[in-house]
Amino acid sequence: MATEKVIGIDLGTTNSCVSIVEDGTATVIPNRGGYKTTPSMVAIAENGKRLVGHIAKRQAITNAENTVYAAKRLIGRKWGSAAVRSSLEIMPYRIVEGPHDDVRIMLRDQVFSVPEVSAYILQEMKLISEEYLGEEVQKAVVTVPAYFNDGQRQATKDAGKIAGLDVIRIINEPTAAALAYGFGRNIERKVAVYDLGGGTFDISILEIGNGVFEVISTAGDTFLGGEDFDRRIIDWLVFGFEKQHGIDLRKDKMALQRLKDVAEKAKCELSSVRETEINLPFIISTGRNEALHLQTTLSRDKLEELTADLIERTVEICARTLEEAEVPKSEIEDVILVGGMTRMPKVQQVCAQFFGLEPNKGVHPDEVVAMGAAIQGAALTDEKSDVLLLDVTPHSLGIMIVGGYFHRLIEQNTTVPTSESHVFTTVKDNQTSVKILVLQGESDRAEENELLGEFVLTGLRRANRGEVEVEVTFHISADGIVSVKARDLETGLEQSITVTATSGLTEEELKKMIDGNKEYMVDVRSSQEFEKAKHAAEKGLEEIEQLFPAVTEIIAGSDFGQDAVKKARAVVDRTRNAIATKDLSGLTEATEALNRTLNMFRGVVSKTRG
Amino acid sequence: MSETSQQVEVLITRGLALYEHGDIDAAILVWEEALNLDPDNPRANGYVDYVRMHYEVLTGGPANDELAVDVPFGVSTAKAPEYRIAIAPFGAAPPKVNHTGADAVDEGWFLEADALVSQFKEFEAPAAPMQATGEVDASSDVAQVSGELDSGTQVADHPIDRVATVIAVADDAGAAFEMTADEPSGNAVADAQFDAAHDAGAAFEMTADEPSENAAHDAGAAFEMTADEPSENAAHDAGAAFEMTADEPSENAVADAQFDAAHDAGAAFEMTADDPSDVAISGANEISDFAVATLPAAQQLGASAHPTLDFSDDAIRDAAIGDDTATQLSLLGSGANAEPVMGAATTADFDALELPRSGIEYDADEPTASFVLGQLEFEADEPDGASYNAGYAEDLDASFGVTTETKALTPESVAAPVLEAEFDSLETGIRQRDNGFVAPRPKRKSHAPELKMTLRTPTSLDDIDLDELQVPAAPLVTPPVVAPPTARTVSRPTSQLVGLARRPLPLRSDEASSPTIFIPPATPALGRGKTRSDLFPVSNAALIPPAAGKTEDLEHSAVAAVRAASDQDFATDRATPEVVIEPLAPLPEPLDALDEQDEDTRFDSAVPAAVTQALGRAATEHEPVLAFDPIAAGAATLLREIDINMLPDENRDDRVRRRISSLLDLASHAAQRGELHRAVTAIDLALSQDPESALGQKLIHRHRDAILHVLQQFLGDMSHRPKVAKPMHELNGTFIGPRAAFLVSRVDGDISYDELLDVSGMPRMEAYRYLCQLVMRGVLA
Repeated sequence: MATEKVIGIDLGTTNSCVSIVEDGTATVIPNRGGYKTTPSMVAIAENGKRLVGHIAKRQAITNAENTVYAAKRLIGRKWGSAAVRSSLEIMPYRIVEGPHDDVRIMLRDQVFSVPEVSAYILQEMKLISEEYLGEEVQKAVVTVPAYFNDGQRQATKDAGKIAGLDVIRIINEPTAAALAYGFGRNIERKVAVYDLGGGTFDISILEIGNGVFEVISTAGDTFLGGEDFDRRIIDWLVFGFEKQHGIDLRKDKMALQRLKDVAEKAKCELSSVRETEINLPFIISTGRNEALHLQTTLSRDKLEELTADLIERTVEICARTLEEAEVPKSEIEDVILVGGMTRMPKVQQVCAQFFGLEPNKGVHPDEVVAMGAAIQGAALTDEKSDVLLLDVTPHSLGIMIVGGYFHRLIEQNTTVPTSESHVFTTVKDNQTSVKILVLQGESDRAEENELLGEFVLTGLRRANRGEVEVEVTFHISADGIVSVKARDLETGLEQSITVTATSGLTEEELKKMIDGNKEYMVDVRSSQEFEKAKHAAEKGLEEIEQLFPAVTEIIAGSDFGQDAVKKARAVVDRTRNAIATKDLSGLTEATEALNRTLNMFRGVVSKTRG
Repeated sequence: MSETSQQVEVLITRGLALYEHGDIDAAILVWEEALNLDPDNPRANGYVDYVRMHYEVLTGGPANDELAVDVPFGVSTAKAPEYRIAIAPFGAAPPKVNHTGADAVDEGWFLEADALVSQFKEFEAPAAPMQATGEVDASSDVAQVSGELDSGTQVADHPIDRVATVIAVADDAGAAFEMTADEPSGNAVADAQFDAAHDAGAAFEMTADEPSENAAHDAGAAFEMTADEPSENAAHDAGAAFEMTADEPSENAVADAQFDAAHDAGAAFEMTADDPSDVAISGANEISDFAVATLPAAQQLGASAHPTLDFSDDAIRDAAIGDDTATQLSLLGSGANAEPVMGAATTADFDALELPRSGIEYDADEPTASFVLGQLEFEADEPDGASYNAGYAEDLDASFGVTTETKALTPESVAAPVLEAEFDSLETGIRQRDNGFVAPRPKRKSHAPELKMTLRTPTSLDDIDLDELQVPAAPLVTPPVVAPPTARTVSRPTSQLVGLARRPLPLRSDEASSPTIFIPPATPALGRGKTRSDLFPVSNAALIPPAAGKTEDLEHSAVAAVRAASDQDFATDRATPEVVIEPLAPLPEPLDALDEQDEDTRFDSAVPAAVTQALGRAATEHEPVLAFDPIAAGAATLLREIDINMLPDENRDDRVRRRISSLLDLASHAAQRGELHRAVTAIDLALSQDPESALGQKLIHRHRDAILHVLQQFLGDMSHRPKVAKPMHELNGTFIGPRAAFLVSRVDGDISYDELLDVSGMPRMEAYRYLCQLVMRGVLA
């Protein structure tokens, strides 16, 4: 029996990628355009149509307010979080507060939850893989940054649900990269995953051994990526053009969109050539009948000069991460480069200089994460698989104790699954109950950390403070599900909760979104079918209208002929009516009749006129 | 009175005149000019305020009953009819005002009426100049009508009386019907008209009744002229062919009066109220007893032997049908197998309208007439669907014998395979719009003419043999001459007319000034088939007056340029002249400061440099030398066509209105014929007509869906993924504009037309337009 296909999806900030394991090998699936990555962009066009991927990217600037990019920075975030605050300032699309202190996005007067937007991207990846495999795909492993908290992971899972995917595992991106890197190789070493993507930079230190992949430490900058490099090129082009012609191209959306496209293209080209020509004919009009062209050459040296500080920032983050993980550079035996930006020679050079070793070039930077996810997916469905993937908790977990302090039970970067217990005592005399506040975060102040849940353990024996002991146990499953149990050691009474992170969506909302998305897809397919049928019908109509005069002349002399012409006209009218009313079934029937009529007409004409 | 006051008065009067003609915008301008001189002038202020307040209604918005009875000036309903039918010597200058603007036209009927238009594709007619001229001529032995009928896109952009006119000539010197859509209180007008017509012979006038009294009128039905029912009408027995019924017999005394008068004149037509008993039966039992008519009735036939029927002026705007009106004249082949041969906004030239004097035979069982039937059809769009659908225009049957010929006015039509059609009868039909489609009305039994039509559509010019097109005409008898014969009319013995399908007229010296009339060469001797040169003599060119600022050279070079583009739609079988790569400039620019320029310059400014260059004018040193551009070349040709009837004193708005309407109409027809390049070029040109002006935008917006339909038709399958066939950096010789260039930059071979529209970041119509341009220029494939 064939095992169910599980796809691996790298749901990136700027680009996404989908992969599947076939015959033991992870394969990245190209999209319709042949590209192996798809922009993580969603837009709503003027006519309400949903645009996803490349097509959304191609209008991202001209329709900026209705195009969502970097939704990943918002997913699972609370409205008041710093990331949302900073996004509010820089994102061109409208970010609004959701009903559950979550974040929503408004596009053309429609409000979308962030998981919904991410779902559209996941759905696109699902469609790409289904088209490739020729069968429906339902299960997926999706990657998220290592620093994503439970809420963000849950929101990503919800996005999968809305997209019609059963997300069987969420794994960390560096873990996935390391998995792809180490897959099939019997290696034991500490590696650094340097991930410079389109919008974010992450550095992770992993330990690989005996098929176990363990993230030791991770850090990054969610506002540093390839887009910043593009922006530098755009600025350079704009300033140069302005200097020459006195026109600021950024004021023209279409010109800016073209600049953005060409900047990205030039950046990519400069990874393999020393200089590239930038040519944007008819970039802007100066007035009456005169268009200006932008034509210049950008060298690799110039690009490196323009972006030196950005690359330097990544190095600083690497240094800090190693320091926090207390891992000396010398222990790093390999550097895995992830993300398209790591193709830039200067980045590779700086990486090599910092780590003191040449980065590994055995993995494809754009595809390695998705491949790792696919490998994990295959491992999860294959009982014989010996791949063991150990993730770490990205944040510390604990409870609030007297004085408002945060007591950690599970430290950050602890490998999961894990379990930790600690015994606490009452703080007041005759205290009969305790309230357990489960928190996540790194601050010593409980209030500064994220509250995951709370429960109350009652029935404690009346006693002086400190006499009653309560054991609190934290358990994190491989899926990252946190459960907390409090037990009165004396009586054995216990109380527990399972902390299920929420994405900010209620079950009802989620169901509504899932249904809505299904309906939309049905509409889209139906509309596509109608367009096809309409096109075929219009071709027939065109031909029959051309034949009408001749046929009429030939046959209309008889009653029979007149009747035939009349009927043919009725068929034409019926077809037109079906087109006008967008009646697919009616159109299908009418087109059949039309084709029959057309055949008759053709026959009449050909027989009469040879 | 001070000089200023006088000037103000003059301006106010001029404004009123403009207002009467429906040129609301111009009227406002003039009154505002008056206000500049005298800001407190109460009349000017009142007029400007009023027009602004009711602008939508006055320019074709929804009918407003209140307004209809409360018009304070200009189009007062209590006055005599405001319609005008110019009667001028044949060959005289075209009517002064050629309202073709689509102000009040419904949402693009002429493009939407696909079903109708498609029926007429066989007939290659030049673009409608929105004008019709005609001549009723009377001679001792034959009545003739010469000229051109053009359905055009007649637009009511102001609520004035409208008249629809059709020539109908029986065997007398010519009978004419005049139908007027009267203003509510305007029945007196009808009387006057009738009387006048009567004096001239016999004329019939049908008027719409008071709106409040006539439900049909409210519903848009103004009148009905029907074939008689033999069983009900003794007139039938007497040989009367027509019955004119007023909708409300008890309320419409006019009909009786008219009938009586007509009767007195010996007309064989009968005008009846609904109740047959009310009808006085004509004593005449021969059609030849009646007839005569010039149009309008207000014009005395005696005053001019060569009246010109003008369908284009305000007269055609049919108030009875509603303000949102489009009028359509269709020429139909009559008889049992009648099929339409010409559609809306097409032109038919009569070089000889033969009006047989005899052969009117009646059969008690199956009344037939050997004269042909004409139906004039109004198509209108009532402001609201209910009344619109209630129908408004019933049959109007008029008859005349006619030989028609479409005229080759353009390089395309010269090359077009179908150029001539001859009929021994024509029928124009009033049709009723039904959900956007126009369907021929069923013919009345008593009207069924036993006439036949021959329409030839030779596939190439060499195939044309006019002899084959000849259709026997009805025997002629000598009619009584009611109208004075004209010295310019060629009189022939009737015997010579028999069997002639088309009667050539001698070329007259003043014809050159009549732009739309094609005078064919003399009929060749029997035994020789007509050749292309017979049909399209070189001298034809001389008949086509140059549009302002253009010369014949321009046309030929445009044709050459077009042919050089190997554009199928413009292809001909002629030898392709050597292609001169003319310098071109970008596509059409707004009509800048038209009014300040002289005519020549005006034309140039209205036409893109590319167009003028395609027309053959040498590039100036200021014009960039660009590569050949098929769109510009096609545009040049189209402009040439539609500007044929450009009036010398046409103002900017009129020009924009005329051009846009003509171009969209042309595009519709071209699209129906499958000439999509031509259709798109016409649309492109229409979109470039003063695009910044409110008028231009309004006109375009009204036809948005139809325009998009044509453009989409051109692009074909919208899921097609175009490729860049010519990189942009190789397009230095062609101006495609930054926005079009942006679209090209979106094309990656993976994105479909549909998706391109989505990512274009520009209005859909603009994106469609650019895509079509890019495809036509070979940038996209």
